[in-house]
Amino acid sequence: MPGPSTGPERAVSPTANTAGGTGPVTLDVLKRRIATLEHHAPPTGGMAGGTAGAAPATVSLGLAALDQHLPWGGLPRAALHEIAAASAPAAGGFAAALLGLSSRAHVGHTPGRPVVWCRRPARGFSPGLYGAGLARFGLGPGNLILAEAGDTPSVFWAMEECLKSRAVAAVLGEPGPGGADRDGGRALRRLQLAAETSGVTAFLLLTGGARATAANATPHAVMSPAVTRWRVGARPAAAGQGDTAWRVDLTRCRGGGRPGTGDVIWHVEDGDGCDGTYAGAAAGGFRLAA
Amino acid sequence: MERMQARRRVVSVWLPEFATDRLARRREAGGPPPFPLATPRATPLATVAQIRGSHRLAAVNGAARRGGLAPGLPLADARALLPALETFHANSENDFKALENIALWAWRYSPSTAVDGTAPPANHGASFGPDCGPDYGLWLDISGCGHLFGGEAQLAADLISRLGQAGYRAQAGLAGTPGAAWAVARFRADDDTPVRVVPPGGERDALAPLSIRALRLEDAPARLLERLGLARIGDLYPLARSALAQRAGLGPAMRLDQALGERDEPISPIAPPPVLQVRLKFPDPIGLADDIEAALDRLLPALCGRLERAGIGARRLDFTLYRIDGTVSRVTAGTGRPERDPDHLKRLFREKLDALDPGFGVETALLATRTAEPMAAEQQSAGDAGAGQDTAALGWLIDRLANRLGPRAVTAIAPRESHLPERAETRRPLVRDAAPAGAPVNRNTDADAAAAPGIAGRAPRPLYLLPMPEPVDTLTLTTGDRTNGPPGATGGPRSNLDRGAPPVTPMAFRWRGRQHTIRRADGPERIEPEWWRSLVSQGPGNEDRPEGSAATPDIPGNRDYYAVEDDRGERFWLYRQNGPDHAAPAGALRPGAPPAPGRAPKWFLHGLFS
Repeated sequence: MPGPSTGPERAVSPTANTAGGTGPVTLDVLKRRIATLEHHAPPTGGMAGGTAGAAPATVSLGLAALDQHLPWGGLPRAALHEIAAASAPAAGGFAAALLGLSSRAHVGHTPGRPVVWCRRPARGFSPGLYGAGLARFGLGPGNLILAEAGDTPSVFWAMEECLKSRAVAAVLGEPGPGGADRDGGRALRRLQLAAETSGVTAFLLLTGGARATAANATPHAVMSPAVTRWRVGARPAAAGQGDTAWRVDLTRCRGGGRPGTGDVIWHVEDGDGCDGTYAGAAAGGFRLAA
Repeated sequence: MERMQARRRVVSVWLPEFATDRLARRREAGGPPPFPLATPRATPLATVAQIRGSHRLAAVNGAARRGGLAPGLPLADARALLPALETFHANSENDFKALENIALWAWRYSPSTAVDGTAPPANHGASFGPDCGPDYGLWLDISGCGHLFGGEAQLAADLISRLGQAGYRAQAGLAGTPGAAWAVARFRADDDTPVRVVPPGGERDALAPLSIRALRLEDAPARLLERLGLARIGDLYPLARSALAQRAGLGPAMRLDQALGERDEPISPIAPPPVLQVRLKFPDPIGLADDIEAALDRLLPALCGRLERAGIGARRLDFTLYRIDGTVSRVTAGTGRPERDPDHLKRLFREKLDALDPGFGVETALLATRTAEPMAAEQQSAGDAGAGQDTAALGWLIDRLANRLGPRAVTAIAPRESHLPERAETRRPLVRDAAPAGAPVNRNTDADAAAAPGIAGRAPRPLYLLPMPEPVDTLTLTTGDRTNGPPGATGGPRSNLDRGAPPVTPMAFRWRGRQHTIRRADGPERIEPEWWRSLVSQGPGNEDRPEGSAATPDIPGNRDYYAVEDDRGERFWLYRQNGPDHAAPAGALRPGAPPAPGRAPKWFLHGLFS
């Protein structure tokens, strides 16, 4: 049984949204108002639709401990979420899991609604996505569109196009090493506004570069418009083969949420995820690590 | 004769001084005036090429010709005759590019235009035989186009006059067959008019007085016929075709039949003719980006209306600007499914309008559908709820992404039947020419699933695959047994680097300069090489080699894959490459053979688990 065992207890804190300090929340509201005025966007009630939003405004993570830790009872759909990498493959896997859950969360779509994964092309030494591995997270030819963009601005452009189209459930963008640093918060604010307007979820996967490695405390990270920010690293798996274990830190959470840390595993039922076709792969779900 | 069908009418344009005209144009385009409007070509120009070991003239302009120069003349002689001669290196490749551009420009007259530069040299009058450069010209099939320009003769005259304004000396022939048009464009018994029109059915009479060289003959049969006293085309009329073919080969008989319309001669257009096109002529040349966009805004609804009436949708669209200097600028947009929504098509073009260069002014804008497919009426509007609308909106999104990122950049994963992990899947572009209409993502799922029945799915597969398996240095336990239990947590006794004899799971490995201590390992999963591929693609003697694809290191043998986890919890997909048994006789296929003792196994890192 390797690994720390204190994670789950800390992750389960359903009182988080009432216990959040009033200071940051007030500041947030003011910032939101300013942003609304600047961008002439229709004012929304609270943070990303807030708790007053309709039921499908969130994506359930399928794990009560995670869902209840978030003030919205799930991952708010019309918002930008950042996933920073303590370990790049682990963060990629966690992001893939969230993307797959966003695709599946729509009832009545058997293969899941389409989602887009936008990244730089795999050249030289950079690893490319592998379909048999994606299938473990419910992403397959039936619902996953891969878009390769040559540079960081193109990644942001493609994400924004997806967010504006409403034809997809979510978009995951990898701006590449240092991408989000260089282009600053402006592109991210555009993404957040587009996600708020359309209800399409935006995930930003930050692997490498200063933003991914600096934990949370940089001024830049505070400026980020993302509603949640996760930091994901590898964690030794204890259970049987095929399970994927992560150390997940929720390093920031707007809307009165509290940071938290937990160890989760991604469990795939035997024969569910990889049936050789990855068509409408059933994928697995989050579980708490033992 | 089919009376009901429109009679075929073909224009052949001859550009006798194309190579030098092009160079003069380029030279004069540097400063004002921007384009040579009827510039007196007083400067003798010539292009020079290495012919038969010496520098000779390949093409000359009118001034040089008047000075006594001709293609094929050695450069030294030419300089002696005409010291003012300006020479350039002959570049037939660039000539052809420029000629293609003119053929595209000629779409303003007809949707079916072709480059005519492959005909053998005309040789008329030139004493230097086959040395002169290619003979440049254009074909235009103008059947049914004449009325747009006030008649076919007016069309041809307008064409020649615009080419002349752009600096190209040109003359044209207009007839019912490409061969006859070609002949009367170049061979004139009498007149020097820029356009010679052969009335419908008049080919036989018009060709009779012309030299047999006007039939585009090769040199040898032409010389033979001339020696026989058959110098005029009319001399061939009384001969039986079989006798002609017996004497001079099939060429002259075929060319004669083609010129007289007794045998069909298609011209191969530079691009497929458009399905539908709309054009906008401007009273004054335009050049501002806003004006160009406004032109597109006017053309798109017009085209989409015609598409709708025809019950089709566009798959590929060209937006072409015809500039006043006789060149074109063009952008193309493709769609993943038939489309005829002006707003959507506008969005596809908006990203590309910056690439259009109006030059010194645009006189005509043309919007053409090159590829179209049937399209039902209900896919019209987007934005509201409903599955059909969802599909349409998704198609539009894919189009927009593909138009900016590239048609091959927006893909879906398509599994393939292969054991080798790097071959087991491919990327299927979602925008392609032959894609069926409908939901681009969802509808192909079943087909792909059926196409890939046999992928071993139980063993876990990594989320990331390296483009190329990377060799790793391993620290291996050198015990004698071959069981693959997880190695101990402490360092192995008597371990050495990459030399363990009967290999087991390594204790540790070094990848990209970082040491990873292995805590857990699952495997092995043996993956055999696809020896049948090597039988097909390699010659005998190399039977053990897997296909040398880009993603496969060129090492034969099977692979044992392990999913390993290091002490930090990071998980990797390693494999051991088992070498072939070199003691086996060449040609023996032993894909399942155990690794030969004494050979160090090679370890590679192939993937990263999430």
